[in-house]
Amino acid sequence: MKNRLRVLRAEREWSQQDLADRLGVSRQSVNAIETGKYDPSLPLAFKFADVFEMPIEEIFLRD
Amino acid sequence: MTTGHAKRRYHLRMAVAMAIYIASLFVADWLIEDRGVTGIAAVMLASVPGLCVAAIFWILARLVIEESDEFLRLLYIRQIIIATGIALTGASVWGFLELYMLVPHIDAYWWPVIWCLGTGVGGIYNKLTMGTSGNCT
Repeated sequence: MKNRLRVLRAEREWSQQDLADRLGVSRQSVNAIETGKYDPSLPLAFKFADVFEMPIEEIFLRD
Repeated sequence: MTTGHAKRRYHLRMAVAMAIYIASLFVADWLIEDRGVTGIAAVMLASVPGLCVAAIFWILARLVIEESDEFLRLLYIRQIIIATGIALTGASVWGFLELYMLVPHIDAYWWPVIWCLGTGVGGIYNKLTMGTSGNCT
């Protein structure tokens, strides 16, 4: 699954660790999700939506 | 519950289990080999090191259950599956080779040791495929 995490982080000037802290997960998780190695569960995807204050489908994109 | 809490509990439990394991080895060796303890007492003494090794599996299960980070949970489970595959494959193949006298006997307590080494292989596999090891050992 593709995502816009890198761009969204850059817009907010957040490091992967900053985002991980906001989500309550490890930096490795953010890195794996951002690079497409791991697709998050639906609850975690909703957390991303809450943190970025935007709908899930504007963060995660269909392949 | 945060990632750090689960890992700290894991390290504490592992340290306690390993301390009891090492102490029980010395005590069992001293009482059974040197002092001649026999019967049910010897069975109980000889069982303690093995039960400490069994505790490793319980500790890892608790780590998987208590870890709140779903990605790290995935890495731990992958490590455990790979370690289990290596150890059980090794035990099966070696067992049959032993049966037909093609290889020397290996004491059964070595297979959990192979399993622990297998988690290291699982960590390397995680590193190569997911970019991070997970590192549950």
